[in-house]
Amino acid sequence: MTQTQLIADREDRLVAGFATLAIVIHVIEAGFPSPIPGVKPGLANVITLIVLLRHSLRMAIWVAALRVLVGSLLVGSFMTPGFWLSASGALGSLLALSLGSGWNRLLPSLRLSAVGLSVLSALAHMGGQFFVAYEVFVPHPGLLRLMPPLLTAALVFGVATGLVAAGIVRRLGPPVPST
Amino acid sequence: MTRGDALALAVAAAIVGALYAHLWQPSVAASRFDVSVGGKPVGHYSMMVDRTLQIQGRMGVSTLKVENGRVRFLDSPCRNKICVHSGWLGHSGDAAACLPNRVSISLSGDAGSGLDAVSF
Repeated sequence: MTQTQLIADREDRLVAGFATLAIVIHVIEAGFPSPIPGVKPGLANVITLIVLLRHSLRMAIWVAALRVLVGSLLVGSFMTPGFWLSASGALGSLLALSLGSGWNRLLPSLRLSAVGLSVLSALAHMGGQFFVAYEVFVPHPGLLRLMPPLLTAALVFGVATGLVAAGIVRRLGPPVPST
Repeated sequence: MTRGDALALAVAAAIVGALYAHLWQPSVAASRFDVSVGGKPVGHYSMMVDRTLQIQGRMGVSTLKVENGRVRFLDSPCRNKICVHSGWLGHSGDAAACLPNRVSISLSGDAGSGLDAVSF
């Protein structure tokens, strides 16, 4: 009988560590009541951005996916509408980050830094949520009227998140190469 | 901030601005309304002609009144009279329904899209 051994390499450990940070932020943020429903700073996205900027898109996707899954299990929202909104938002934002990374490879002269990536991913996050909310949960035209103000909030928080991520990446410096 | 960031911000702001312009239009006066029974359209009428309409529903006859470019349920053979309490409707996108009698009306204007106004 063959035995498969799974060995956690450096990347796995980094993903686990960053995902843990993101989950803690996610859970703390879920505990704060929001003045306006649907508006959240999305600070957990700071971690996704940091991982993308310092490491790779692949790791950022892992961290975001783990955060949504484990975060919802801890908060108790797994498989509820809130979970699907969260997942569709994360999917949208990862899509934006993937496109942003591709853009940076193709057009290095117009490179997006943390702020640009963060704004695009925040808008895509809100867009993804709205798509699912409108198509699946509340297909009512009134819902669409909420979109502009919520996207404005996403824009503002996207810039803020991006600035935070940029500041942290600057302080962290480049990743230490493995021994 | 890089030049790319500035570009991303400008595009993002433009998208949000365009959405405000598109989704937050002031409501437009309706010019006509559609009547359905059980989800099937049974006719559309102009808002410009004052009249009283008798619509045969599942339970009985619902009475609609059109006056001064507005329309309302005057009476319906239902118990709660939610349709009657909806009152006068005059904006494009407005709607009212008598669910027990399966009669519903929805207003539309020349602007067309049903997103201009909402009411329950």
